[in-house]
Amino acid sequence: MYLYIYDEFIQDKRYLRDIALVENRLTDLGIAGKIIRMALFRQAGEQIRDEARRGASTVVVVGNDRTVCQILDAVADVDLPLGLIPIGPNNRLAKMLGIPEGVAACDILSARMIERVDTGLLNGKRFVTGVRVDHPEATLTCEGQYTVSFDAGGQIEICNFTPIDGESVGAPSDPRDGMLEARVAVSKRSGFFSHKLHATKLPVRFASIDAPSMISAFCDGQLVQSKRFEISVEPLRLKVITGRERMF
Amino acid sequence: MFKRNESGAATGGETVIAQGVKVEGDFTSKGDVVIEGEVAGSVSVDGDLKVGQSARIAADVTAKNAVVAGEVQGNLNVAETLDLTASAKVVGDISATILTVASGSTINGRVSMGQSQKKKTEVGE
Repeated sequence: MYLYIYDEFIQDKRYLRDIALVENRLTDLGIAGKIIRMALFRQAGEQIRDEARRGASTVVVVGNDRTVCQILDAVADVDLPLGLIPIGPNNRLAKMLGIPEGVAACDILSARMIERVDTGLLNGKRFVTGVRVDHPEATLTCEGQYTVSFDAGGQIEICNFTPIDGESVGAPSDPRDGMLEARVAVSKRSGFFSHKLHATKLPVRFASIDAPSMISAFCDGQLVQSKRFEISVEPLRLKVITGRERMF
Repeated sequence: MFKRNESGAATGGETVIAQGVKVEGDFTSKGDVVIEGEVAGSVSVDGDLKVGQSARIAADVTAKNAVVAGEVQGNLNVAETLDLTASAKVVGDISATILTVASGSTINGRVSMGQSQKKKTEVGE
């Protein structure tokens, strides 16, 4: 049985047509199922665990990256495949998985190409794409064995999937290799108007980012604040349904 | 041995320490490594190591194969082939099975070659 998790924002009238098209297509494909609508005082994670006990075979998020963040722990714990029907903005994960927006995602769901991917832990909270810190005073320690420092203007990113926005340099990360990738991008002036981007890539299983004061990190697009971030990998923890255009 | 993109870093699955970045501590890698920045401490690479022209290493280095175009202050222990290009500067002892030294490179230290390492040659500037 397919379990569909609808985020609150898709109830907005500008998405009603897209949702109607999606639901009709799912019925045509024979993969319609139970719908759970997220709400302020409703714990979607608990409902997912209950439905998994009752025999749900797949959890499908109808929403965006923020929706995935909210139910990721529960889906990984019950070890069910996670599908995605991206609606609206902020759908980086769907792009990385090769899933198109809206009704076209239904056919990807029906094809059911499942891959096991790594997940990461940021101070105990699970993430799937990566963590980014933009702070000049942050220091990166890898594997507890060496530290990485850089000139001003650098950015630290701990990636599970390849970053798809901004200037990404080098080969794509593989989210199935049991490792995270620590990327440090340093921009240096190489002419009057131009900057050259130098990217450092370090495969890690464990890393920490420290700062003398509270700093902000973006974890799967969500803001997290702390003086210390401990990041580790969980190899092959999550099953995801992917498309042919996936970025790994 | 390594492909290059516009930023000077190698493509593929290698570990890259780019220009402008400093690594301090015991750095180890199971694959290939490209160093264009600064490293202090120790470097141990199970695969191939490339030290770029802008690299500054103050560490003992161990690798399977190595191409050095930058500065190394420390001992270089290479299991197979070590290439020193014209811009290479090594202050420390070198150990390798096969050694190539380009005209213009600088070595200050002992050189031990071959699997048995019976021959030892002292090389000055």
